[in-house]
Amino acid sequence: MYIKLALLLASLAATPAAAGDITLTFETAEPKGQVMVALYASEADYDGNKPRVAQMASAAAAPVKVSFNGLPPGRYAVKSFHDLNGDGKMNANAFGMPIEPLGFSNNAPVRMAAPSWGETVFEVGADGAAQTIKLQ
Amino acid sequence: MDLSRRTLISGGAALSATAILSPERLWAAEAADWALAVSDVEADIAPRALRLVHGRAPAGLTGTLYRNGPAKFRYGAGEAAHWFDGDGLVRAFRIGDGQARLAARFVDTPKRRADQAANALVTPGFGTTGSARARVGGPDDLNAANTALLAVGGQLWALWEGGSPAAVDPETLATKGFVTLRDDAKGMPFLAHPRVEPDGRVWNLGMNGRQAVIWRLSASGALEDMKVIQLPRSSYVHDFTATDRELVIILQPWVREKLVTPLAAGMAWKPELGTQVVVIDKADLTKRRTYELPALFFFHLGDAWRESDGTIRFDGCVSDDGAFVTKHVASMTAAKPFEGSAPKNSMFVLHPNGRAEIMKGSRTAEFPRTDPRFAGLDRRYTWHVTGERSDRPLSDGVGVTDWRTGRTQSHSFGTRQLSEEAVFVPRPGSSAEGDGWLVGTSLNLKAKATELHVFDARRVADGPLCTWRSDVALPVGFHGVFVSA
Repeated sequence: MYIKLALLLASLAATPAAAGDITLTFETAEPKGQVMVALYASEADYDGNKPRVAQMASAAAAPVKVSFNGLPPGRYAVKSFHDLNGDGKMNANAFGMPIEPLGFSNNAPVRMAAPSWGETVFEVGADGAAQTIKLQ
Repeated sequence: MDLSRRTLISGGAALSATAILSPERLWAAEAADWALAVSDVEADIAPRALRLVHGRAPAGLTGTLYRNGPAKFRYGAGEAAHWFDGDGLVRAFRIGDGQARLAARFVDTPKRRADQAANALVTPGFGTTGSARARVGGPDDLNAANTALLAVGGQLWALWEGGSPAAVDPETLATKGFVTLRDDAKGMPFLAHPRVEPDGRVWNLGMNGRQAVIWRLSASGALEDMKVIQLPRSSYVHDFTATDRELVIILQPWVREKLVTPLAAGMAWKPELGTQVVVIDKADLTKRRTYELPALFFFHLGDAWRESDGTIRFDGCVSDDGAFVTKHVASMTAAKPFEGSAPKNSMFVLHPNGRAEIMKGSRTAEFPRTDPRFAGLDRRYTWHVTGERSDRPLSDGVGVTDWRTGRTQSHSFGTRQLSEEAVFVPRPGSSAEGDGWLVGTSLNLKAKATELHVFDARRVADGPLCTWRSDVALPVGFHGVFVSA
């Protein structure tokens, strides 16, 4: 079991993103809580908050990495937030405005509203894709 | 995870307005003699002595007049920001032992950092478009911290109106950071005009369309309560007022129709809506009454009071119509003079039978201030700037209106001076309303210098008891607070 895991980790570290793999690296301001990541495969799903797949990763130590593997080539977008207090929710203030750091693929900026599919979408080809997303 | 476009920053009550000027008039003023009023300050102002040029400082007046106002409008080769969007510069005028000193420091906001780093006006604001790549993750990314100051529990907060207070060290003026009073209060708007009861308790609002948050803080600055309420319309609310028992919120017919940047571009003047006045019981925020008034426009109100039969009265600096805002919004980038009506000193009356009326005055007035010992209580005096002319924005004098007699006495600094807000400072040991001084500043266009004046508050027409002059010309600011030593 341990050997298997070690081999898996070694293979991840040694090779570039495999076909259809998305490798995401998150920059966080504080080493605590977790990073919640959602991957979308169409504009309708992006606007409707219907992720194709979602993951979370501990933010206790940098770098925070998340991979989505074996995806069909196509267009994808990522929404993420830094769940600082680890309660699994994107916390908001009393007016409903998010108060935990957010990040989107392409590092598309939040400008009064979340960025659109058009600003966040990226291509995933046979070689996969990698992005570094700053949570702020 | 709900990260829809709708749920993010539906806030945008991020409106930093506070003044009586239109930006096009300011931009048109580049060559005018009063262009100094909107000039840029490039760096913090190191502490320096002021020179006494008139009179003698009154014995017993010791403390600091803190003032806030925008002081850096231009970055790079771009267009000047809207007047309301300039970076907040906190000025400290320290008075003691018959002498006065001045220091000033910019509030270190994310907005200022972003614009400095880009050497361009990338941050959108009230009237500034900014860059499409600018990150606006929350209201405090737009926060100019440039409108007013609140002294509470030994702290000094630089206030905007669409975001959090920014704590500033009262001695060094160094920025400590945005104030978060509770986890779910992070980034909630805090208006630039809190109402402070005589015992120090603070009431304030924050606006988000039809939503408002009602803040209640103890005299030490701790959060006692924060409640979100719904209002009948999404009016622009810069100021509200209060009696000892009620909050009074005026919903003028300048309403937010959409949330865009610049924020003013999402507002519309709709006089057909008239004006609504919502009165909320401080002890039970669910209890409210609503009054109707004709359309009017205002930025600033005086403290309210309630009479024995339940009648509520308060004064305000009111314009007849929305000419100011409609022209203001429509001709943002047109550098032509604004021909609007200067606000006039007016009295609102809310009768117990549900009828409301406004008695419009004839004298121009802005930046009303009252004796803080009488906040929410029956009172007679309002101090204000006065003397705004049709051919030039801003005021050139200060006055005091006695609501019992209806008379105003005033002092003009002359055509080559622009007067700034003056605050009432009680004389130590006194208790009668108006027993104290009026402490305020002006920009002397001829000397190219900011001046500090002290008046006998009940004898304003006699002119200043003393005047100090600095060796710097600071742009005309907005609001201040006096902290007695």
